[in-house]
Amino acid sequence: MRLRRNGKQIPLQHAQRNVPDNMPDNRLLDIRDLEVQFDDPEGTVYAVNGVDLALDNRRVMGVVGESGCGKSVMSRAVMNILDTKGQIVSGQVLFRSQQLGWLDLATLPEDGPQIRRIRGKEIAMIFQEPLAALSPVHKVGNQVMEMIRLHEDVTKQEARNRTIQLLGQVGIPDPQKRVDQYTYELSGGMRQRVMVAMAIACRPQLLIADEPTTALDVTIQAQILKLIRDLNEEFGMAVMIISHDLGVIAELADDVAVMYLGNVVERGTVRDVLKNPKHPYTHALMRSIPRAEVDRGQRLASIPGTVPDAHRIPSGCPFHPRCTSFIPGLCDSVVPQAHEVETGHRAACHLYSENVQQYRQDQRVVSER
Amino acid sequence: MSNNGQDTILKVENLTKHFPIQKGFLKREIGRVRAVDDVSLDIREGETLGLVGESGCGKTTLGRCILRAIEPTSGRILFYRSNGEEVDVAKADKETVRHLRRDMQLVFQDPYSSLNPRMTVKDLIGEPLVVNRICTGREMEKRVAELIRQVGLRPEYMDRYPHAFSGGQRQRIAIARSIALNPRFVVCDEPVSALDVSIQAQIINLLLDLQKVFELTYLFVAHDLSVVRHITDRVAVMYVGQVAEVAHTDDLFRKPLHPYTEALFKAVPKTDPDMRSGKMALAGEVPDPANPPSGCYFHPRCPYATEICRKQSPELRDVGNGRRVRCHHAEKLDLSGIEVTDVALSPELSASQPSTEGTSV
Repeated sequence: MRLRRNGKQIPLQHAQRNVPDNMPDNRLLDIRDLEVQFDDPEGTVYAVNGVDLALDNRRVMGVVGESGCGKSVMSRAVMNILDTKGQIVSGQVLFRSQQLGWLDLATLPEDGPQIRRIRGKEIAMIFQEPLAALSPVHKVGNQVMEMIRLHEDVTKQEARNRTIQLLGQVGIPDPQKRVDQYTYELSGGMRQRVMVAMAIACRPQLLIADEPTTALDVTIQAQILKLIRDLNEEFGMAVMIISHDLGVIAELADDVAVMYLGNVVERGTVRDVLKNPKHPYTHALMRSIPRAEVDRGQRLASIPGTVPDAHRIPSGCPFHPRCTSFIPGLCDSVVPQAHEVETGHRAACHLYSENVQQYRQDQRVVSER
Repeated sequence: MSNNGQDTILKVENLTKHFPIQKGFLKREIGRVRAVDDVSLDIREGETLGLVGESGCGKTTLGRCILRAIEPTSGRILFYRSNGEEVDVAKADKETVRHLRRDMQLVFQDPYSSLNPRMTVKDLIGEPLVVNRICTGREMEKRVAELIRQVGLRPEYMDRYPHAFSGGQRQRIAIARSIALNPRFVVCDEPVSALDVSIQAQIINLLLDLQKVFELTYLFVAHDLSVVRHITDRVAVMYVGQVAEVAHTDDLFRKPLHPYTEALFKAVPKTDPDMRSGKMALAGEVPDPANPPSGCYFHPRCPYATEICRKQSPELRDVGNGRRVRCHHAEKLDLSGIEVTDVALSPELSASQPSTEGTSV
């Protein structure tokens, strides 16, 4: 398995050719069987291992998982901004572009003209650490203006006026003054607002927010989450929010995908997944958060062990070494399929396969003998 | 403690820490950051006191001043030794502080930077034993093995270096190091903030277990309110270097008395999607501690502020039931806490999961 684009320019038709005809009308993004791998001195890191995800217009999709589960790599693969070492090994990232129609972003050259028309214009991204994402030597206003002038044919003055308007829109007080300031003059919350202003400057159809509030205090986090929700409601911008914090996901998302070791183990509406988790991992994750029903000072339910090294993904179900519902002989050898446990709610766990009862009976017969 | 009538282990009185802001070649002082501003607290033997607040509120500085890792500007820090002797940590000489460190220890937030990567686990955990001339050689090794077992790791790993361990395991090593001298009082500075949710629960369980076994007293500095609610007996809420409110944990979460506490509770994202509300997040930002607002520090962001709040700084006053609050209007306000709502998790999965899990990794 090798990279299928080694710097060669692949014609646009190629990216458009493999798109299925039967896409639902409101579908915006459809990730199919995506696999991303990295090479490091210790070998190959299996970062994303066959992710299927779909996002419709105007929806907020929450992607939740612990560190190393591949949620960030997956989002970067959508933008096609993987590190030079990272490779999309297989799979499709289908995106409905307003300018170019349906495209498989995974096949586009990462510095080609097509992807550059989409990045920032139709898909925008905000990152966890605004100080690292913004330039320290340029005025924040100029950084937002650059984005506008890159994608739209406007004069400098028009871009500046739009920038001031945008800064006001994301809740920065006194935008006429802030537009000429540098990042060091702004607080963490203000910097993240500048990031949001830059991201929404060209009215993207999709905003990818990778841990947008992790570096912020709770009161500022609440402000930024409210801002993202307002933008979604006002402009119908679809959002993919990536977080390790189930609370953030519960506040913002319509749909949730839970990731573990590069796999989506469970997905469904936020209510289905968080209130009625079906996958043992999601369930254990919810239980390990301190809750009021667990008495103060009592031991918490925790998930035994740690997340395995992504160089060596366990066989079968990746969660089986830590799972309390582990079925020997099945979970450690067969990769579970995503089973629809209720309408629109899928869990990749053998507990929901039809033959698990049969399997258990067979085991009992064997052990009785 | 029998000497002072109560079982207080530590009493902080009017503690202040100002950092000077210097400018120019001559380091002229042009201002002061009031990181800790007239804080008084007492911590009772065997309890866990939570210290919460947003970044820059002075909670970490306060924790470090108590251990004399930072020199306080003024105020008293009275520590009661097990023989009943009262020591003022703030004024103690070097030798006394060195002895006190056996009783008072610190667990840091980031287990990636708090452990020396060039030392083996044995050296890391054994260092305090050697430095304090408790034991060396074989005896030290035996004690380290015991400590490693107590924090849920395997003694076979003793000769490995920190890079071979995950974040949660490193934090266990850091905890073993801090309990090596049998301290009575441990400052935990955001001990689980850098860890994943599933690992957080393991470390919280470990801290709870160790507290029972060694009768430890914790000062638990954290910003995660659900963790604080779970592990603490009492909570002090800090804002811009001052204590805004102190109360028993249950009372505080049921009904806060300070508007800032209420605002913090409102801002915490709930894991129940049905609890989502279009509520107004607290506007504005934490003021600069070098240039705090007049009167009550919280008044520019407070929805209940009146004329008196702008002019007069409120005292931290006793309002009965072991609660103290720094607000002019505490009695008149009816503030809301965090409602008890919990996700009913599916019974079939719950049944297959043990309610608790050992500290083994």
